[in-house]
Amino acid sequence: MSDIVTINDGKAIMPGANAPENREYNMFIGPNHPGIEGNFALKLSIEGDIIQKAKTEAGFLHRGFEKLMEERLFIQNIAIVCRICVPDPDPNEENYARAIEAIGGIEVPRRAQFIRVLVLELSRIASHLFTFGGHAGTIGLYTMPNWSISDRDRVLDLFEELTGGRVYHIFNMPGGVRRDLPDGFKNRVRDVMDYVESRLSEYDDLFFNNKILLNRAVGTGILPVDKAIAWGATGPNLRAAGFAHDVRKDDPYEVYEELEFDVPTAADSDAYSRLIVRRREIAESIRIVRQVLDKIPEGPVWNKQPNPLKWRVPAGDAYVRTESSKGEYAYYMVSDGGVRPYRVHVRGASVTHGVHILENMLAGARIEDASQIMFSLDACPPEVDR
Amino acid sequence: MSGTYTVPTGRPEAARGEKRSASAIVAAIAELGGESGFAVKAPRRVEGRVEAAALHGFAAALRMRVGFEHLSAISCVDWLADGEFELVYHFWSYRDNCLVSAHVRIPRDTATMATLTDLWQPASFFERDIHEMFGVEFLGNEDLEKYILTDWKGPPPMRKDFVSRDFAHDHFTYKNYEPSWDEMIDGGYYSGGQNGGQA
Amino acid sequence: MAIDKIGSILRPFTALKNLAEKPDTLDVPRHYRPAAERYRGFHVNDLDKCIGCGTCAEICDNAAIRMVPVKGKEVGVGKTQYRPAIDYGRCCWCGLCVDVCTTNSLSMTREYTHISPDTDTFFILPDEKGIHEKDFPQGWHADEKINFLDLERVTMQELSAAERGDSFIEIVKGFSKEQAVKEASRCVSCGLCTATCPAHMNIPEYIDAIWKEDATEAGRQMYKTNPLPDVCGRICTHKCETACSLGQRGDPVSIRWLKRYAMDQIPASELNTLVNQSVVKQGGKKIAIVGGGPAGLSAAYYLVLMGYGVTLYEKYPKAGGMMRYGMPEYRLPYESIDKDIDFILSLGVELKTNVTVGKDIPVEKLRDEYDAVIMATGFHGGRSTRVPGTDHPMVFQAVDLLARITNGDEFPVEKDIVVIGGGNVAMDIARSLARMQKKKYGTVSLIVTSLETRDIMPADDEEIVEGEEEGIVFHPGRGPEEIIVENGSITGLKTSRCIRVFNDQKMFAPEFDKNDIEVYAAAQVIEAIGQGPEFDVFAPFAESLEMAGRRVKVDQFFQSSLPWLFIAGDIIKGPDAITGIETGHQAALGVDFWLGKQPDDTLSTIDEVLKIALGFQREQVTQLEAVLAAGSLAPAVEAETSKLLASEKADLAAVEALLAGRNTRIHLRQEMPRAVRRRDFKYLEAQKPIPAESASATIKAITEHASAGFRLYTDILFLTKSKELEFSLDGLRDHQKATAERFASLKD
Repeated sequence: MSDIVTINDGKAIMPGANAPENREYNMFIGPNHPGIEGNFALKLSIEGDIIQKAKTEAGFLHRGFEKLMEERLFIQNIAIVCRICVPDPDPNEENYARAIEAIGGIEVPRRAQFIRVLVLELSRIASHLFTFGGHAGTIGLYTMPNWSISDRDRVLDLFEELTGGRVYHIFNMPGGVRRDLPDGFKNRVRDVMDYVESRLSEYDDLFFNNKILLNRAVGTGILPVDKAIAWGATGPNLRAAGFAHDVRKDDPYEVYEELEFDVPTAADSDAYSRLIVRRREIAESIRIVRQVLDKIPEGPVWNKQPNPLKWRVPAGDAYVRTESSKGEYAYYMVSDGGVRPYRVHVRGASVTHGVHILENMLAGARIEDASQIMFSLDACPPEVDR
Repeated sequence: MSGTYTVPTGRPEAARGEKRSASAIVAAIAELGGESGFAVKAPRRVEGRVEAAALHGFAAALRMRVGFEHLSAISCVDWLADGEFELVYHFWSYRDNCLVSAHVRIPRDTATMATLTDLWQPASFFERDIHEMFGVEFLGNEDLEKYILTDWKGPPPMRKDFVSRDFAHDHFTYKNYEPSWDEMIDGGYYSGGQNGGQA
Repeated sequence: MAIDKIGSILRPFTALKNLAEKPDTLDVPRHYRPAAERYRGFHVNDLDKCIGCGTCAEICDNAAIRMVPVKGKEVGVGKTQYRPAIDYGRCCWCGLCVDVCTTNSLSMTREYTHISPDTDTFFILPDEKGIHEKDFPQGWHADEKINFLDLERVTMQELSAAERGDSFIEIVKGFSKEQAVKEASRCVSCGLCTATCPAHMNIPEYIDAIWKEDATEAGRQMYKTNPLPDVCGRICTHKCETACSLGQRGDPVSIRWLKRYAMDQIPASELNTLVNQSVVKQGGKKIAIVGGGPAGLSAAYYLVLMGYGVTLYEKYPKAGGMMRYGMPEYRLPYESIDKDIDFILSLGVELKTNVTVGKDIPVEKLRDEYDAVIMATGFHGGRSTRVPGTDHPMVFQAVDLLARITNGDEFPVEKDIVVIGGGNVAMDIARSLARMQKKKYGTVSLIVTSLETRDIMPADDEEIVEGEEEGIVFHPGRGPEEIIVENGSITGLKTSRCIRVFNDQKMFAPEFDKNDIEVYAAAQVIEAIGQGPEFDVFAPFAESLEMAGRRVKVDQFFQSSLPWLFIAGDIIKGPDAITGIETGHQAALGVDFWLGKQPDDTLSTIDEVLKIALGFQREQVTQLEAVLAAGSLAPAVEAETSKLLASEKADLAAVEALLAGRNTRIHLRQEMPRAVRRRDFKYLEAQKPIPAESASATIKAITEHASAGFRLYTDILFLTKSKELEFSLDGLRDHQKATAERFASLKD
């Protein structure tokens, strides 16, 4: 890891020099580091190879989204919310739209609800593939990123065809979605799902059953279930500890109640369990996508909303939650009855995983595992910074 | 994370048992004290007001006696016209699959609040964030250092009286262009006439 | 599941089987990979289809779109020369501009990249070819099923044909509050309507006020350029609606009915709160206005507000001109006319009725007794077809009959009637007579015949449709040949088919097919083929008065070659009410320039307007400081006032910042959308020193100042399409409004 700078009281330690009196020294990882999704820094206190204390430093990706939203019309924000999280942008769009719908009592046509589920699940698949690549990268397995990122591109092709954008989809609108499915789209989704499914067993051979991964990830970064709950872990990180909470099941939205899927859990709650839970979630997402394609009804995809330049949302507030690929993703929105949201609070899934859970878990870990632990939590810094 | 408090790690007894309905939760909350107007707002959403001084006791009882184990978020809203901040605590019960939102109003000019970090560690991040963005003091939280805006010297930026556009105008410049299609523009928009001579 | 957690160092080698696979990567950029059909690439714009409404710039969430004036683009009804230029340094490719485009001229290509070391190439004025001047296939484009805009207007409730057939009760019921707010919310505030309206009314402004449920503010916006809004809300020719950008793909906004709605909310007793300027006495100068129609009344209103003594001469028993004597009551109830006129008169206009200038009183006398004379005598002479039989006593002129209906005079209504004419006056008299027939005979037997075929009939379409519903039979495309008179009575009208009305030069030159003859039975014939001026009044000055064709020659302020004589109304421009109102307004300004030696105080840039705001803010700060220095305020009021002082200081700094440019320049369109004069902000002069003696007086004065400030920022807000300004001004405006409300609620 070439970009690790080792210092002690501002002086670099020369190789071969005698160990200083004070055996503890500081080490910085990031803010630019291949083992981090985005820009984020870890300040570690180290003794030997063991991390004594970890502090996170954020703010490198702060763009003031919450403030920006207060200054933009309701419609204009659909173009910026997706940018809060690059690998998994759609829960942002989903939350933003659903918060307005909750405050304004806006109904969403059933077809649009199915399309939203389709988009959310495709996004989950894409995001997990991204994470596999990143996780493998942190332990030096560089074939896996090549595979999973290029397979993710097949999902992005679907997004491009459906929404007009590969990474930022800007597709959910309060009241529905912006466009209907293109002709023949369902078949192409099926093809890509078949392809991704067929690749899963190849991933198993290449990665999940790889001896190197097992050696490095099993037993690393253990998060016991009571701590997971107390420290606010959600999503796959909580399920890897054997606690089967999933917003889609327990606080259902859109049409998830009508769809059959399992909530995969694991028992060991180590880095490997978290990977495997995500690996199984891809299979469940494929199952959901196939059901969506079978069940999606005909009909409109958007309930007409007022002229976007003169669109007031009634005064009120709403707290909406979505199961993102990284966990519980929530928006708290307040409208004062005007044309702009009065306040939008973005509660990213990574605000617990990426800050104090990470800090707590790093204490006692070895330095070479720091990146892996962070990636195993799938902590996404832009959700923290907003 | 630093701090001398001990975060409860065991799961409270009240978190186990049969799932209760939202109205049963409203009834359970009614016995906690300091709260008013709690009601079912939507499916799996319960909402009401709590006095600022009673919040910590309310939250502790909500966790230990009603079994709300998960602090989903703390939101802050700046009601500039009323001179108040509104803190909204969102609690989730894994047992009941229900969200309780407790709304607390505190005066804007002396914005202080008791911390919840001794009950939920995740409160630490939310409180630190609100302290940084709104300037609310959380008594008992020992880690209110700057986090996201480490080099920020100005007022808490999420306050409504901080105008980010003015800040942007003062600190950044716009990109000026001299596009090739300037000749198509009546009077030469950028090379003279219409734009006040500003290229 | 293939995960066994046993692990093997050999299993990864199964990946080697892929060595024989063909890679599916493409050799980009040598190989063009077509983007998806919906891809949001770079913008393309059909520059001829685009009307320059600027809605794309409005919705752009990054202010990446700037409207720039393109040479040689047609400017006219519903079209500006502005076209969107796109800054790809700011664009986020969301495509909202495409979805909101009023004409569907904007779309995006299926290109992925633009790479260039020259940053100027990232700022483009998109045309049909797009950024790279290559014909890339179309990507993201408007979807007909998903319209951001509200293309359908709110239906206006009307009396049914059965309910209205035999009565003169107003047909249109008017909007309810919900309907009005809904209809107002359709507006995109592009301002194309303002450019087209003869009086350049502040249409987006008053629609916005209606949407905000502030009818008073809407009324105030109307009175700026139109002192007869109640009337115009009912009978205006609404040329604005033909310009409305929403009309490109759907129904234009019901601008006229919205105006009517707002004025219906304001009782006559509160109209005085809508006046925009305070009266400054002009040294006792007196103006005579001849003709109490829209033009005369409009001139009277603006002159009396400028402090002139105004006398209005009217030949009929009541003022109103064609509004009263040419419009049937079911379209324009007399209460509406009276409401507008009574208010104008209440400002101090002297009205002399039943006086025909030139007959009862010579023009020379007016010239000698008054400092200036505005002539607005209108079109009261009906034109005749001059076919054989028109001299029969049962042949009437439409305008005469309409006046007789208003006056309540008796006249014969026969069982079978033919009306000649295809304009709105023809509709007015036909539908009036139909009502009288129905009342008298219980049935309608009335034929309307016009030279124009149905598609080119000049009357409003709804007039024709409603006429048909009321039982009128239309025979369009027929020219009158002869009124058949037998035994001294009319028995019918003989017509031939009109082949075409206009020649190739678009001049009026009707041609007829004399073999295609039809005869319509009738005992009474009404001619409604147009009206003209009666120039008798100018007879004494026939030699000295310069003419331009059939009209008096005037300059831009409607001043004739005789400096004391100004001309307004139908006889100079039009004919219609709204044009009359505008000419009256301009003539009043002309009189003021000429007599008051007022400099032309037109404000031509946004900066000049911002300087007015700067003056206002400075005055606020000075006066509040003075009041606080006096130290005699009640503690509660003092606390509020010092709080206010701090925020007013912040506002002052904000306005200073705006004026200093601070990088907003590139977005600040300096040119004004319409003529604005310094005196339009005269209401700020009411900003008297704030008294410190009594709490109630202090509170009242501060409330008044804040209300004036609210008006000021509302005015400026609509003068610019600049995003930067809009945001800052919104805050300033809201602050003034909040201040006014807070102080109004303070108890002393």
